[in-house]
Amino acid sequence: MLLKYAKRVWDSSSSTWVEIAIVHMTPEHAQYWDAVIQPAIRTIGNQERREGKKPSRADHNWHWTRIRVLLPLAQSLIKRRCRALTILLRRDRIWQEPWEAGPPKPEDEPKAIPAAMVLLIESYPWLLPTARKRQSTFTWFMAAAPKKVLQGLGVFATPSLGSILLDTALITSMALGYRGRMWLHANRRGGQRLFDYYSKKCNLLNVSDGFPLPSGSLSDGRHFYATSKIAKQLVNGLKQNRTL
Amino acid sequence: MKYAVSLDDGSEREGHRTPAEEVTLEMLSRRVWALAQMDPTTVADILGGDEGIPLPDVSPSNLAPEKLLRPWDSVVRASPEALTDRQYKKFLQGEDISSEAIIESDMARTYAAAKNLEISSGIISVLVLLGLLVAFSIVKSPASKEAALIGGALVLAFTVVWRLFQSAMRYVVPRRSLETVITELTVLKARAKEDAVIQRAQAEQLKSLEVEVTRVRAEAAEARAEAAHLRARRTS
Repeated sequence: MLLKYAKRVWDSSSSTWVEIAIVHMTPEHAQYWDAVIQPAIRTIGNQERREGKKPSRADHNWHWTRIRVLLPLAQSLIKRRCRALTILLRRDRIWQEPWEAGPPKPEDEPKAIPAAMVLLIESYPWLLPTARKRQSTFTWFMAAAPKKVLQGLGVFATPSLGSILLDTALITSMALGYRGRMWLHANRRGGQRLFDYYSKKCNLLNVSDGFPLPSGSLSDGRHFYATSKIAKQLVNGLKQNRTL
Repeated sequence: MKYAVSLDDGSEREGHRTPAEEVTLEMLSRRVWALAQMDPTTVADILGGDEGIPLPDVSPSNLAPEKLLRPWDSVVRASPEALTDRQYKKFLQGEDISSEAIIESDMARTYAAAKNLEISSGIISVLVLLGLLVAFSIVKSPASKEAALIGGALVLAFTVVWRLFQSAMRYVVPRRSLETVITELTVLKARAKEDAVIQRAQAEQLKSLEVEVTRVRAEAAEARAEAAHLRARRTS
């Protein structure tokens, strides 16, 4: 049976299920992200710089409109397909622009706010060497909006979406017939925090420094992967998230 | 929504590209080709680096962020299944494919169900015919043979007529729905064009109103200054 993408997420802060919608990313989502979410991410990074640290978020300089538009186009030149997905959260009827003072505005209808974005390469050579050439899904770009920004935009329930982002990559791999084989690179800018997130929180496996990659280059030790077995475990762990 | 830098082959446009457009397109294609040659990790490093590589601006529109948001109720969830070639082309062109993807997968499911039904009905008719043939060979009475022959001929005739009817329906029904879809698409396209024209007109109107407001404000400021000057003269 074909598994579906998640439809809800458990929000531990409010102890409730929060409805989400995973949709194909439109240029409008990317444009909204660049206009509203990305400046806030940059502000966080700049604040860290002022404190003498490096920006901790890997997506500090990302430009989602370019990622959404140019990268799938580039991959199509070498006959590869990308999948861009947006996780939307619901904003209630009453909200307030974060930069505007005054009373909150009433809205005609609830709006869908982009809360996380992911770009995958649907079919990419599998990381591990095998007798027969195998394909897998490569998770290329992944970002979740800071909770404070979403709350400022009027989204009151802001659950963590990291596991859902990873789940979309695994489900995509399964739907395409790659049995959940997926791999990714933890951007160096993300530092130890991102490394630990993938290895400890997501339970992904890590290849050692100098491991030969399918492209011919060597790994810097920050490549992570999910085998079919791990993918199955991770996907089964989110079974409840697939129903409303 | 199409991008500021168009990805079409120019067949839909009248006239030729301006030199500036050509330069942008050439730069875009060169950059995209360079990105295609790179390892994904390298691309991520470049796009995430402080310097990055100069890439053309591909913002789809100048709409205010709030105008880019869709109502929650109109959201259509994506299916993990692979997109068709046509859908993927649309995705590359920056069009929203969510609703279409659902319609197409529904159509595929209906088609598969119809095909299954067709196969089972074919098997049943063959079995009935075989049964009659066996009965025909077993029964020795000429009267029964005649009845079996007539029955068999009737079943065969019915099967042929039914198949012809099905073939006709297979041609007529999709054609009709295709015509409806094409008509709807034409109407939608026309409406989108109209909306764009209206939006442009409204934007122009807004701009002229803003100019007017600036002018009136300047005049009011001048009048205020004049009044203050007169008042000062009167008091002195």
